[in-house]
Amino acid sequence: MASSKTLVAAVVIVIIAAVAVALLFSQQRQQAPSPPSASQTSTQSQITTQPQTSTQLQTTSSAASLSGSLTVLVPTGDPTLMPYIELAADEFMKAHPGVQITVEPVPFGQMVQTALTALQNRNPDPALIIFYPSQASTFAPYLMDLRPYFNSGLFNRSDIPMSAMVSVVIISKNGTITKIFGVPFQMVFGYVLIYRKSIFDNATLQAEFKREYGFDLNPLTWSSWDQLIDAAEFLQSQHVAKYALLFPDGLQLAIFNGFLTVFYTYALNDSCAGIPADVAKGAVPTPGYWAYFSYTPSGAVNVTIGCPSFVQALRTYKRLVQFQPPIDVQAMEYDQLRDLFLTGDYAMVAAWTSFIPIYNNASVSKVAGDIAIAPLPGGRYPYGTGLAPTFIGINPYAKDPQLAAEFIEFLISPQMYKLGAEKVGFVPATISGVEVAAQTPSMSWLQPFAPLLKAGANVTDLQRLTLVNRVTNFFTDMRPYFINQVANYLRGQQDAETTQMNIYKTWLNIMKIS
Amino acid sequence: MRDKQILFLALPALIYLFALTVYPIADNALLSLYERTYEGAFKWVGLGNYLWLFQKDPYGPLIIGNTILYSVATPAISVALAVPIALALRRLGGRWLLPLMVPAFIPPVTAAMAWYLMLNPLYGLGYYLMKAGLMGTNPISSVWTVVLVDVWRSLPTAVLVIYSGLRAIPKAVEEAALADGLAGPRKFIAVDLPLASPQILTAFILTALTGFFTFDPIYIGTAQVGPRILDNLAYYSYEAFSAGEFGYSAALIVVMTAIGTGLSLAYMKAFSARSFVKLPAPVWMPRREAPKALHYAVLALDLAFVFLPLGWLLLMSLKPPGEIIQIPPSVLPSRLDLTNYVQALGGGLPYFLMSIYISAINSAVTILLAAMAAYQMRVHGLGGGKLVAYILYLMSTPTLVYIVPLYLVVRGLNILNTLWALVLTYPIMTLPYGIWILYNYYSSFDRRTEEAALADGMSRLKAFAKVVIPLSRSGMGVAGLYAFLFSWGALIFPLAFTYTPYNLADPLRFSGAQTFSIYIGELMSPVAMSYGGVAATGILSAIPPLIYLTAVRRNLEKIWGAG
Repeated sequence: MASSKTLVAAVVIVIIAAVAVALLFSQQRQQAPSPPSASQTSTQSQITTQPQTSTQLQTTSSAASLSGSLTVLVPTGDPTLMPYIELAADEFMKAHPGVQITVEPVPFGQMVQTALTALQNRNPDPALIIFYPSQASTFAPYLMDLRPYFNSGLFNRSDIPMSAMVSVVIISKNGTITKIFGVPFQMVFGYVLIYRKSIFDNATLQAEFKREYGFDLNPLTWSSWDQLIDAAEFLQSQHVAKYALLFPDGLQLAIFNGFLTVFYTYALNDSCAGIPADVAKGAVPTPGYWAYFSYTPSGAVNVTIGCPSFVQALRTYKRLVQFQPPIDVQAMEYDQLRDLFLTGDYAMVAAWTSFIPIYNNASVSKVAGDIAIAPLPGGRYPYGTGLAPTFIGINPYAKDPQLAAEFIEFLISPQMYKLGAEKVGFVPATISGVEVAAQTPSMSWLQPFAPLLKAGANVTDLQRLTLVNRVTNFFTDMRPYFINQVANYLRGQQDAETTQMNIYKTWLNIMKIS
Repeated sequence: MRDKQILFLALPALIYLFALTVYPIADNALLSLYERTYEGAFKWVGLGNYLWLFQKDPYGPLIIGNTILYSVATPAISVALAVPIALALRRLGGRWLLPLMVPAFIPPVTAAMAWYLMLNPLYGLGYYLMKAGLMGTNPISSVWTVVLVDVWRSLPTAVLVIYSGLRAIPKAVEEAALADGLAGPRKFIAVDLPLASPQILTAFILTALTGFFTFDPIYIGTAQVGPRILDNLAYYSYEAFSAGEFGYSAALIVVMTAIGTGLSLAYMKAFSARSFVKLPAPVWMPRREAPKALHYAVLALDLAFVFLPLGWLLLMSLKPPGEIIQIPPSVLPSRLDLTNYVQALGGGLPYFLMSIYISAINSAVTILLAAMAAYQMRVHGLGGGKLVAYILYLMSTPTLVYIVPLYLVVRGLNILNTLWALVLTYPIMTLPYGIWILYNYYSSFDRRTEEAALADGMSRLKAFAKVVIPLSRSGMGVAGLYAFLFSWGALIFPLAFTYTPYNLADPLRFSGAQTFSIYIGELMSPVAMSYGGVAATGILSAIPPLIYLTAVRRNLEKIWGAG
């Protein structure tokens, strides 16, 4: 009896306390005079209008002409994405005092469902939706066609590499672009090789390596996976670090993207894979999922998994992951790639450029200030390093799509990119943006990557490059099977040929083409 | 008039249950015949989704196999372990029951997380197990780890039910056995086992349901293992649902419901069983009582099993950030550091508050509605055996059944991603269980109490409110405990019906309704993984249900004993 009374009282007290805390927290948030901090990523934030300052950026429209409100749905997890959107929103509101922008964070794992719910419900908010290449095909039917903004020149088409847009372009059977539903505004280069300067700058090691292998211990001069593997073997034998190389083989996403990096470099020289001529020359440094699909002469869809380059890639991939704990002990997913390199136990890691701010964070990283970056497999032939853009699209039911478009234009302006590079280390997606950002001292590592963007400015065979968008169960059915088969190969449970045939036959059997 | 009032009292719960369960179950079956197109429309495919599962889906057989494995291995192991533990408890006293019950009251997502962090081969005790040669591969990559987590969670329930059954054996029978010279293992085979066999069977079915519905260990572990490898039908249907493949998800749920119905029928049969299991006792089996030390050893092992993962979670939560990602891992922190708790509360406050709100509201709603219905069902025989059977059927029906149609209902009411979406849907999970607990509780309720109140001139409604409810507090406390526990640890409903955290900038709108379980899951995602924050969050998530458990602990045995 007494315990029940106590319990009821306890529940009432807890609820009152919870409401009080919520109200208190709310008041504090509303009274806060300053804009949200860069680290504020996990709760919904209202960007308040700030007085204009001398550093205020200008937009193409006159300040008086814009007013209204926008909500931007932003996935959490990326250390620079949310801060950049908040920074841009703040600057935009300074330039246009009549505009109110709300940044709505959403956990990475919830972003598709969140955005789809709004779009299917024809909700006006969020007006702007941020998404990644693997989610593009899901959003394709629902997002607004942005071609009018490209045609009017609001978005500078020549400044955005076409190779970064293949995920957001829909092509008709005769090859005409029928829809563009996103704008790349953030570029993540991946995978890149991040290596410890203190090891690679060691003159004794350099001399010994050169003597033994006949080429420099300098990733910027390498041209093949074999050279990377040779270097890893050397460093492992020298015991300069516990492990020489950390390479992605995680069983959720990393294995899929990690292997693609390797496959693409072999597919470039494989006539069976039929990589378009301009791409094969290196014009498109985009080892995208498109490389797995091709048209047959009759116009049907085929998969390139059966090509010889696939087996070559499998064998090389297995050699690349031999310098780390085996996959059946620990598969290296994104969190391991990010966290294990921080320990200082690894000499090199194949990682996304978005991890660089974390590696350089001295409060958690033992390798802060000790890293350098090179493309994969080496600086001379950087075709293994691809472009992984982050896109922004407009909700067609938004209250003011024009305002949303104006904000996108502001987001990808060189001035905003410059500010983003200086203040939050943001990596732009436009050619001019990368050039501007690379001039910031802390972002100088970007310089080798600017040519990659330029190289992909124009491509010809868009139909091939966008074919994967039509495979409706690519991510839901085909990817899981692929990952598990390659994992079985890495575990030694089956050989390369069996792996290849299993994936080839199953993909052909289950592929659904829209 | 009186009969109408009886019906009136039970009506809110019954209307709610029928309205929100019959339609989803039927609608789900219909939806399974459609496929969502690339453009978002629904296209009739007939049995296409079922054919895909059984003929084309490369993981169809594996997933059905996993579902069966989890449903069989979990109860088999749990009951095998629970019997000696229950015997030890009977010998050494029920005071040990409370600590042994802890895993049953830890949110499932926290339970999964505690085990995965402890077994981690780089940062957890798994490192030392591998080094010692006790493990060859990453234990997280095995379906048996899912079974392990489920056994950990379901063992306390099995122990409690079997212990209650042993305690319910009449003293006269015990004395007669003693007079016949029966003690120890021989007495267990000859006397205890036959008399407690209904409870043992019930424990088996209850733990089988845990294995059948298991979701959180897969949700947490799948990132470490590979897509689909750990999946069962429950998890796979959720995955299909999340990918927008509503028709396929519905088909998977229909298959799951068919299996669940079989389990629920077995459950009902076991529950009403009056038959006794009789085994021949081998001649070599000793007649004397087992040494007390053996019983102590059994309890000590179980306590170690219970508290090892929780202890590791606690230690991890108190480590400074720099010591968490450390190989080899340190067991003890160099100093106690609360940084992880600051991080957990900083980012997790909106989620925590929302979990408190919905758990408190849903517990209150469940207790009230369940008491109103259960009393009339048990004392006045409302609905008869058919209604009881339907309640038991709902208890053994996966909540996933309701997701797809309820999602459309919640969306239609424009309450998606609000507290109200959770308030509307959560009782589906908790009300059947609450009714069943109170139905058992009222079996020993003295009907004359109500009759006396009626004779004093009270209406039946007033008698229920003024007399029955005050006398039902202990039963309602236990029903509330389970309602609170389910609400606090729920993952599937909030994952389906919410998508942003509680908006603290406008708290009284109660929009944005993600719960603490989601926060934990998000912390475990490969993009945002923070082991220290995850551990601290897990510890925090265990506190409210354990406080509740401590408050109502004395009533637990009473309820299960009655069952």
